[in-house]
Amino acid sequence: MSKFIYLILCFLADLILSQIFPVDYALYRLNFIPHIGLIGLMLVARELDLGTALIMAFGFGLFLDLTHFGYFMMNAFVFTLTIWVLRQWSNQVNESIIELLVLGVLTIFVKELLIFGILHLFNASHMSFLVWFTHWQFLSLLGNLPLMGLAVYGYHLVEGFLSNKDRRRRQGEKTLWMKMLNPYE
Amino acid sequence: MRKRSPLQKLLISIIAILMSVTLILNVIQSTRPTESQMGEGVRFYAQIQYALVQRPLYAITSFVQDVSTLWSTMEENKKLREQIDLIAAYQSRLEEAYRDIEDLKQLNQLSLSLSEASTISATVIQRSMDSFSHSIILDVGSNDGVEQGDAVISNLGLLGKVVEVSEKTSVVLLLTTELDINKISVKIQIDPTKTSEAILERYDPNTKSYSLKLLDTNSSITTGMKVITSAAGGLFPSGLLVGVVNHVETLPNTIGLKILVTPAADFYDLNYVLIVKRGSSE
Repeated sequence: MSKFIYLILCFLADLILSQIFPVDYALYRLNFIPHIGLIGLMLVARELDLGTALIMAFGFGLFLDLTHFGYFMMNAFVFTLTIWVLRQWSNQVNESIIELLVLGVLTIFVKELLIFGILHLFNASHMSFLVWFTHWQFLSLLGNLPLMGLAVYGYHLVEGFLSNKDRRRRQGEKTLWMKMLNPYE
Repeated sequence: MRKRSPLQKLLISIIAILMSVTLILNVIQSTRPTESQMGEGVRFYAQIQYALVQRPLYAITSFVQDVSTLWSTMEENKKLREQIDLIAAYQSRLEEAYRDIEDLKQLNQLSLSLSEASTISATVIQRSMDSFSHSIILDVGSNDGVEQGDAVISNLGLLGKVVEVSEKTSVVLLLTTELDINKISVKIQIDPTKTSEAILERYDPNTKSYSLKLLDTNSSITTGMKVITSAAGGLFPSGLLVGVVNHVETLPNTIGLKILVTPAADFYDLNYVLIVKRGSSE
């Protein structure tokens, strides 16, 4: 439940940042698209088994599809595939902050590249790769780096909270067990 | 078969319910209220998001902007006061122009002027934040008189058209989309008395310009000419500014010219827009 709330807060942060940094549809400016929600999903999905991670990714993508006007099931499909690709790489990555940042950048790039590829596959876009990378990706990847640090810090806070909660529960169980063994003390 | 964990079962159940509701509503298309349920999630979420996130954020950013430009407010006030003094004179000239138009319409027995249009003010409550759906959602709908196909403009120029309307919200597809549904009749102002008809085919993200197809190769088009909507297509009223010609190219082996037009509208700062409706015939 704590991790679910953490994911909700990450997507809420995306919402807030997207209002502060709106997209320029005409591509005269470099665009920054926040991806804290995706990074949060990546961090949570690494700890879950593959099936649960894919289902969770599909669920979040479907939620975005149902609440935003656009191609239906695009986000659901792309999120699921991105998390699947991430899980193939995640086993090679440790818990150091640098490796997590690199993994986060790759996750964002893979997700956006999948969307770019799908649009070109169905002839829905004629944008060149260079224009796509310079106007949609470059600033997004750069700008999401500090946000990734915050997301990782937030995730560590959640993990610390959960491990403290687990430790207190086990201490309580140990106390109860000792009381059962020595009822007259 | 491996047993699923409770979390997996819960997630699968939620997704299955969402998919079932979506598919059932897609199958049942007999009634109008049911058809509109498909977009209710989008509209409800957009309104909630606007009320809880966007509007407070906009208030804060506006306040910060106003404070940072406070020192130049006095100069701006001075200029605005001068313009206010001129409004009364412009108003009387405008009314005189309207009277002249009515007289000319009666003389020529015209029932409708193509340039007549009424407008509906709207606020953008949601804008897509991804690279593939160039759409915005407005806080006005059929209750306010909005209809599918209405033009949407900003203070600078044409933005797009309304593609979906509900009672209280509308979805606008911007002209920057690469979907092949935005062909618009336009005309290029060669001089104050002469125009040349063209078709706005699509927005090209590689050149950051609209691509027009001009059939009349006898017209001499040069860069810097203004492009406005033509009422010939029957969709948009005439005279809405689309952009300025920035490149003219003769197409090899085909008839016509390829013209690139820099958009007049700013697709970055989209907070308040106008929906333009063509005037109805009397």
